[in-house]
Amino acid sequence: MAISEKLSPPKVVPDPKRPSGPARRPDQKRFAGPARRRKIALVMWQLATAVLILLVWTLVYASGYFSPDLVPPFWDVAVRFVGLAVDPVFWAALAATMSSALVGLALSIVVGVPVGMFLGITPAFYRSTQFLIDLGRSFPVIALLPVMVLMLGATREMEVVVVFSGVVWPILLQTIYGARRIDPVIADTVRSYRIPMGLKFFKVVLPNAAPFAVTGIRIAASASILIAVGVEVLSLTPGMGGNLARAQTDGAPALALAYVIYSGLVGLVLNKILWLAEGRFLGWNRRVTGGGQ
Amino acid sequence: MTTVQNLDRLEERQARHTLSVQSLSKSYGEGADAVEVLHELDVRVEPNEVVCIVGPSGAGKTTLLRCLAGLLPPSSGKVMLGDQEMTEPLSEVGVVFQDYSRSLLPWMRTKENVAFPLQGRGMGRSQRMALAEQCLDAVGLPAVGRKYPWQLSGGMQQRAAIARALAYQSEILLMDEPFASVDAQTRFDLEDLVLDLRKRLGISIVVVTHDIDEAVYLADRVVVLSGHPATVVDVVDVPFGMDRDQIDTKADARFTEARRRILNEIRH
Ligand SMILES: Nc1ncnc2c1ncn2[C@@H]1O[C@H](COP(=O)(O)OP(=O)(O)OP(=O)(O)O)[C@@H](O)[C@H]1O
Ligand SMILES: [Mg+2]
Repeated sequence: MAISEKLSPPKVVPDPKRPSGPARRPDQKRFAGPARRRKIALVMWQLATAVLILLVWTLVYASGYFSPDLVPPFWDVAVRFVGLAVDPVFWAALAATMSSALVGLALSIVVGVPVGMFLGITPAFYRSTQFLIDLGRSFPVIALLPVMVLMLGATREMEVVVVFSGVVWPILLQTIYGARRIDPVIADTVRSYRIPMGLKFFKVVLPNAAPFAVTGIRIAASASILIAVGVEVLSLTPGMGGNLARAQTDGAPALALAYVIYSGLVGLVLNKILWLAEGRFLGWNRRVTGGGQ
Repeated sequence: MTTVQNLDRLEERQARHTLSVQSLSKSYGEGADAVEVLHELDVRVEPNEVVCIVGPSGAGKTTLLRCLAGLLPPSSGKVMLGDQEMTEPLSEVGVVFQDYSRSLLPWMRTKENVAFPLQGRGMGRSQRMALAEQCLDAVGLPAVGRKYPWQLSGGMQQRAAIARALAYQSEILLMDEPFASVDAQTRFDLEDLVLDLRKRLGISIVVVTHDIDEAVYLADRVVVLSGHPATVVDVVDVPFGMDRDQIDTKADARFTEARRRILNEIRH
């Protein structure tokens, strides 16, 4: 010890000026400047893309190739878009669609995560149900719609059931995958330190599966809005999709497009919220894997 | 970070048991595809001894260590702790894995990682946290308990993994290429930490390594594995006792001699 200490240059001393709390990586600070510049550049590119899209849209409109009943000018859509924001009918539709989507999503989390954990830790059950799961996830849910409408009518319950049967799969599959994919070094560690089963489940298997399950939930959240709107369009169930379809048949394409844009935005916002929540609670995972969105 | 160690507060846990393998053979695969990796090995680790296992890459060192840890059942022969046959990991034996960065749990703070095996034993929270603190102290990591493993450097992670093995209070420590991926200075520090632990705590230590200098510097006996399947080609006694020094010990003629002998055996 003594000699190696003499040989060694002074060791890194903790910097008292450094704020306590979650330690920063040293490189974070150094790249703060360029990172900000990159961010500004990114926003510029996004703006440029948006302008380009509007430009192409306007050219298509101005060419007169499509009837204005099919491709309205974007300023008409913008007017409708703003108009919807102050329209109680829109907010009621949004609430209806969101509640179906979120109830369907919540049900699939409540079912998908525990079932996924169970199947993930019991290989025998997993093997015997794998066929069913593969079938289920490849099944086109929209094909279920006519049957569901016959059974339950064009109701909110029907919509929830279809959303559930569409989005439970990514959650289930991701959770199973996460529960099964334990690093062999961690498995050896747990075994050599004789960690009992229950403790292993709660402190090792569960946290290991969590980031995977959350990814499944994020995929499912976006899909739940899409499916809810799709179901409403096809079955005219009240909601954003129902209003969208009615606007189309009533010859108000600008209104229909405004609804489409809102549907997309809702999915985007939901995804963003989940992404932030994931960073908050599973931050360790992004640091370890260096992952980003 | 300083490398000042504080072993004084750790309890001695004088090793009492001899860990040994008796005509141990291990094959991977079944039937016609079976490949024998280890052939009839006999290795003994006496109480308070440091034994190093060297051999070329792929010789089967990790395989032997996993057998010693009770993680891998032998194909034939026995692993014995004292006069008890080992068929599963026992609490007398703690392991520090080759891949320390993957062996610490990334969702737990460093101190919780060190205390985790104690929770499995049913020790209360405040008690195990205090012990974890002492063990982090003992390996020269007094101030990082609240950090996550991925916030530590490679050498610090390896120290944390050693602290976890110490906290587990096993009397025999198995280490698989523990210092393979740290810089030379850290490596010397950690080697001296190992010697210190052996001297002050009375534990036995088995170190698997690629590095012949490291093996001779650390070991009372060096077990040389070679061939396919691997056999014990030699056991070299190293006569330096408990007190060693990175410069003087390595300059000793007996050091050079042992080193030359092992190098020749591994080449052939
Ligand atoms: N799980 C396994 N299944 C099949 N073969 C294996 C397995 N683990 C190791 N082997 C084989 O056994 C032999 C010895 O492997 P082992 O990891 O024990 O070597 P090692 O001496 O530790 O090598 P290194 O110095 O590179 O770490 C290798 O040829 C390897 O391919
Ligand atoms: Mg190895």
